[in-house]
Amino acid sequence: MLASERGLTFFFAESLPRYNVPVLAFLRLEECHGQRSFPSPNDNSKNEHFSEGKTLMENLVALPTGIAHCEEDAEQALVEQAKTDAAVFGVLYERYVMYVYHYLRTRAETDEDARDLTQQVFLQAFDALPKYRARGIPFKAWLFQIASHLATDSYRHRRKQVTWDLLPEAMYALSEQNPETLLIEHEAQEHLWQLLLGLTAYNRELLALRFAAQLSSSEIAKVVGKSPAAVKKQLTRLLQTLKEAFHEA
Amino acid sequence: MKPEHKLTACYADLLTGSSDDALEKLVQELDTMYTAPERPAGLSWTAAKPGLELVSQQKLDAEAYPRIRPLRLGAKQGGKKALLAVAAIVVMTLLSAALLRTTGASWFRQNQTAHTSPSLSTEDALLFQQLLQNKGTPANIQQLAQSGQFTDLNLTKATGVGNVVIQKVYADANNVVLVYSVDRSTWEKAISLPCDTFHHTSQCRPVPVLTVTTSDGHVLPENAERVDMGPEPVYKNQRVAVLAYYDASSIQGQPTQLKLSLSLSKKVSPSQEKIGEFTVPFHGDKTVIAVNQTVTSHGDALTLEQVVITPTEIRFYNKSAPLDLGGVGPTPVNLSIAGKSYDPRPFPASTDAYGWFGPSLRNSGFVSFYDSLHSQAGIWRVTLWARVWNGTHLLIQKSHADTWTFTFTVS
Repeated sequence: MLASERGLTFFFAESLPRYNVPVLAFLRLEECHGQRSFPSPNDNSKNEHFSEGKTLMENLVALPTGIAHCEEDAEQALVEQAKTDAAVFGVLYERYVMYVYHYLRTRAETDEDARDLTQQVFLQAFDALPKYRARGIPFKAWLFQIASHLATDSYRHRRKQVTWDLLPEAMYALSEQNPETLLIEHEAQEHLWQLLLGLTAYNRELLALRFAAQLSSSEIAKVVGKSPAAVKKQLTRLLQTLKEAFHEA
Repeated sequence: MKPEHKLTACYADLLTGSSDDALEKLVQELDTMYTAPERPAGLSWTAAKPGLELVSQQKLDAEAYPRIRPLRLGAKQGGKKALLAVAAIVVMTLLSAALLRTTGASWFRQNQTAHTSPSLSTEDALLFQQLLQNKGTPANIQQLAQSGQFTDLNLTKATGVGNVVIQKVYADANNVVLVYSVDRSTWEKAISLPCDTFHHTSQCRPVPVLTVTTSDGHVLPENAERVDMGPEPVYKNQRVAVLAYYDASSIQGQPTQLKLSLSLSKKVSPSQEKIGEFTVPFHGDKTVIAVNQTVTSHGDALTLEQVVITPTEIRFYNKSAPLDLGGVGPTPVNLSIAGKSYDPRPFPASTDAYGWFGPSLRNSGFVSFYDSLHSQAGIWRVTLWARVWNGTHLLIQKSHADTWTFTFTVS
């Protein structure tokens, strides 16, 4: 667990005093997981959410985004604080920014467009936050409703459609594997990409929300306006179809 | 690429037990593809913050506007509106009273007082029980409570921030340990406040709900606290039980009793409402080991000066040259006594997110072990550990960490 890293509170207390509030949320998330024991700081295997190369802030916000009710309660407390404190909103920003960016990268033409749209999503979210009520829609799903609408509006406004065929280069994963493995991987991704190109925009949206945004079926349902059961069924069918096509080659 | 167990955990809705390898491979490929784009330059909180601050300012401006409007009303018109509002309130109150009397509703009878609500007492009692029996609560505190060494106070005080219930207290040379309960909102307010900076030590301590003052007017800083918020589902309760450690190391001499005064902290209650005064036994059982050992790790020297052992805490006083540890400070990771190793888990060090809160110990100060090892004699071996702040990151790789081990004898 991320919160297992001791020193957490006093880092905030000293350097970012206003962040004492998120510590409460971390505490709550920790309680949600029912784990009170914490690993030795020397045991990096137990600190899987604490990565070298990330700032402490980045590590702190990298808590698992589970969908348990308890975690929703904890996050709701954070959201309530963020309504009046921009610094607390920073924690929500750091927690979700890459999910939003990954999702918008599938909707935008360039990295820069995706980046700008991502910032706009958070700006709009912060602006609308006082009106946000958790009942009925989790914060994450609400955030992606904004992201989805913003992406759609942006391209409608610019009279452009997302050109998916421009994206593969940006979305190929970097790898440190040997050249042969890398080539096989590259071919597999190229093939998969071709399959994705053949999907309807709606199906691509489902995949983007599930894999890039990491939303659950019920959260996706809130974004696309369908029932959770329908979304789950659609996703399952979609993956079955893709699986057969992907492994045909 | 995610390891298999992580992939299954992330996509539990898609990868069921009966899923085949082909589906797993596809999900792996999709996950890799969709999460491949790296964070671009300029996508940061620092970059986003000015825009958000602008939004905040606009909101403030918008809020300010309606507040100005009534000033535009003529005094006569404003007076009429105020009279109408007062008349409406009076009528509503009379109607409500009549309705309550008619229906026999009794929850607002005058002989009832808010602070003696039976349900509140039950809630507090349960919280205290949980707090003192919780496995995360140090065993020594549990033992002290069970053996009746705490002084029971059971003092309830109605305040402007809700009821404050002081259940029990224990005092020794390291700590005054207080068990109390408050409204959850009050506690949350306290921990959300910017910390108090103690200039003489450069320590930044979270604001406690309660201030403890000795008879000579000395305010004892709070070192750590542990909280219990009730049974699962957590955080539905309106009350919080707190086990708070106030630093008693500044108490001079060998008193047999301590006269303490409790009040709400100024930042929690500007009037610093008094909770009460009481006298409790001071347990003088204390062992002081002068260690004075200096150990160097990766060129960073740390000196363990002395260890003070009392029933509530083992406190390791250390000192170092200024190390850039990112404000975190050394943390004990292992203690072995007579060859038996103790899990570092009971080390709150000073704080963590497991219900322990406390001050930061920058470079010098002390670290603590709050469990019941105070009476154990033999060769003690304690290892302290610290990450090194390289200016931008707090490095966690073992090769970058400093580790200092000290060995000494407790007889």
